[in-house]
Amino acid sequence: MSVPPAPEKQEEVQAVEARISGSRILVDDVRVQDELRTRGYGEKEGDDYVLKPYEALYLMQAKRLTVKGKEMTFDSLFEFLLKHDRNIMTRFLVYRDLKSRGYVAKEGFGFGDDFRVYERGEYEKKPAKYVVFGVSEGANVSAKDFAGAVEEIEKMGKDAVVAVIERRGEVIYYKASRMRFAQNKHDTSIPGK
Amino acid sequence: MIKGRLVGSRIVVWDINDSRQLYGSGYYGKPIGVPKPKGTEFDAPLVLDLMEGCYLAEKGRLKISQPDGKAVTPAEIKKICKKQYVDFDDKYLVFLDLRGKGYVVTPGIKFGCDFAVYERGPGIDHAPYLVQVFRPTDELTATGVVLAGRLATTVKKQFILAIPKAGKAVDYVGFDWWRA
Repeated sequence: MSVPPAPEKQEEVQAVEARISGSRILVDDVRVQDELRTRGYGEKEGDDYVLKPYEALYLMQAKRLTVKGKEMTFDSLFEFLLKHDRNIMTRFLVYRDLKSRGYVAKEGFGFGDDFRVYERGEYEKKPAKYVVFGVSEGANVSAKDFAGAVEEIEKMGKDAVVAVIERRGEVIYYKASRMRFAQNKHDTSIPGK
Repeated sequence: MIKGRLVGSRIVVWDINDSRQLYGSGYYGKPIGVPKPKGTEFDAPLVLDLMEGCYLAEKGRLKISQPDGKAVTPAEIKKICKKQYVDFDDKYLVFLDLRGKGYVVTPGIKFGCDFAVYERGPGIDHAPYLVQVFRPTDELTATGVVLAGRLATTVKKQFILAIPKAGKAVDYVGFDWWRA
């Protein structure tokens, strides 16, 4: 990760019109679906094209999303999504931060509030390099489960990154890796005189 | 066998030659009043912490007695340790694992963690590994992660969570700054 944070140079998606169905956010226009897909937003689920709640919020904040037949703002969309996902704030804050640093982030593997994250410029070319999971106050993980998750992520050939969200939404990242203490090869005795 | 006296929650090795020998065989203890010993050329008794004392007693290298001369068995030392340390069993398992693999394991209190672990020795390695012991069921909190990361960045060495698991094995997870 030596590359400095890239500005959001990639041309962003244009206006997206979405439709709310139950708790899901759907996009019907096939051309828009294609555009979203190439930029790493949303996924086909059966016949529907579905945006994840944090994706919808991100696009809404970027003023690129409108909801069919509803006067929806970021606030009202957030309130709506909060009813279905208590952790939406954590997820959105990490997602938004990763996006602002030029990463493509997709839904994770269920370790918690996790995302699979592609190295810059590698989306659709290589598999995700990182699994980033959010830790915020109130939603804790046991040490055992944490070590287990790090092990699984490394078995998948990815790097585990912990994202800590501070109280006002700033995100701090740490890379977590399993360590092996092999037999120490150094001599720890002090030669006497 | 080297003799040590139990004095409060510490063990003192009064014999200078024994002190030098023990200190010189993997940096056990600390010579009294010598903050940075140069080699083993010190003329001071050695102070061991209880965990080191327990380990050395169990290994049969140290014979511990009360100030009145009464012998203290390894089992008795362990009992005292359990009173003195929070979660002694978990911490001791990590101590055993790392000492058993030949590392120098010292108290980490001045770094704000359980152990400072050296490959060559204090004063020789440029920085120790900082090890914090977590029980498997302990919760990893946001504050915990930030503290870990903060420590690792200030000391410029990896901060490591040690999580004892079944069968005396220990899982280690290191934390590094990630430049997003």
